[in-house]
Amino acid sequence: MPLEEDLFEKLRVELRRGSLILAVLGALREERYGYTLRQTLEDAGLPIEEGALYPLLRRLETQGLLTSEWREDANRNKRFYKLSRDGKTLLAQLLTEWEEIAASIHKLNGRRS
Amino acid sequence: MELLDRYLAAVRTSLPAARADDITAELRGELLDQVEARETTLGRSLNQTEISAILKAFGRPIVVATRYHDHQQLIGPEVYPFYLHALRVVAVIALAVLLFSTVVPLLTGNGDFVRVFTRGLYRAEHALLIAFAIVTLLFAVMERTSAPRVWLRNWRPEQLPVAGKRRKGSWEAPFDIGASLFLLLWLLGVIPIATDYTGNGLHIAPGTAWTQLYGPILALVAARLGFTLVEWLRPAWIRLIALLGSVLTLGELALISLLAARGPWAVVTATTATADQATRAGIGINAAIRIALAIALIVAGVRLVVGVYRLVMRPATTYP
Repeated sequence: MPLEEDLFEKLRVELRRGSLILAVLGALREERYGYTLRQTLEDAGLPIEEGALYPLLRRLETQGLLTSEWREDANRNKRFYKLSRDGKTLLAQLLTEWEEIAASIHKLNGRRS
Repeated sequence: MELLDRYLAAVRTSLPAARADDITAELRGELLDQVEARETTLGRSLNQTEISAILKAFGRPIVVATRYHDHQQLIGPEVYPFYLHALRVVAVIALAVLLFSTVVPLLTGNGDFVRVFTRGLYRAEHALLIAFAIVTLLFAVMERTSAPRVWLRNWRPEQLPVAGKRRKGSWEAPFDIGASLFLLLWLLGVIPIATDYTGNGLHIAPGTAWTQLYGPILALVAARLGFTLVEWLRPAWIRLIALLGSVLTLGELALISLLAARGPWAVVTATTATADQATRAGIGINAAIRIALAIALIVAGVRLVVGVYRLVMRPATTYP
């Protein structure tokens, strides 16, 4: 892979890493379990490795942003996650921040937001 | 699904014990979902190779499990610059101590070159490994406590050295510390190096002046070590450094004067040489030491004058 592509890929991964939390919190406004959450993110153009998603869900739950419960679905026990009340508040704040960052970046790059 | 069970068992061994069952159950669900989705697409059951491919894509068990731990780095990016600096400093100090303990016996003729050199290398390797291990352990503990965050916040730009003022470099100061440390350890008998010399039919031993003044010499070497540390770690304490430096130089002046008044500093006796040869050698060696002491006295005097001038003429920008 040429250096430019390699560098682009590295920077792209860095850029997306911070955005994934926002994507996960957004997707969990509706209750989902891991597999369907991953499908939702992939369909939206933000694929995430399973190895990264599950620890992230645990961390967000520990931080009080998600709630979870084990429930049977299609003859199997699954852990369902949902955005908590605190999570909703924080997501709203993060989305505002996100929009402000996007507007600033557009402005600095001479693009219309 | 024997392969899946083996995989999950391997993940489980590295998971945090309190949550291991819960996490394993969730991972099993995810992997089974993936298998079922693939089976639906293909319209048949998956074979061993296809299941193996899914597990491989999921990641190495230890990597998957480690992501569930609170601490995933032994030394994180916040602490790393200080860790690297500490490693460099410790390495230079350790090497300086070893260098002197290897070179000094060679210069005084107390040791065979190859033996002393190979032993020095062997000791250097061990000393560095132990020093690095201790520093790494200390920083790993710091990483797991709030100490680094507090330390990173608690600094003041006023503590920085004055711009344009020559300051000891990152190698020079640790080397000075290593040299002082070597001298201190040698005086305390921790590093055994003989003070007697036997050769060319003569036996040379230190005079009584050195043992009479052992206490003050030891105190002065320890004080010099402390001063070098202050000078290096707190360069902005200009007036305190000038004051301590002057006091130290005054102490050195007093000690050199006491030493100069208590010759002979070397006692030369004949082993196979004649008594006349021993007497002449003794006179020569003591004359050389007298000249060295006179030079040291002049140098210390000049340093004292410069130190006092700095203390009086240059106002301090900061105080400790």
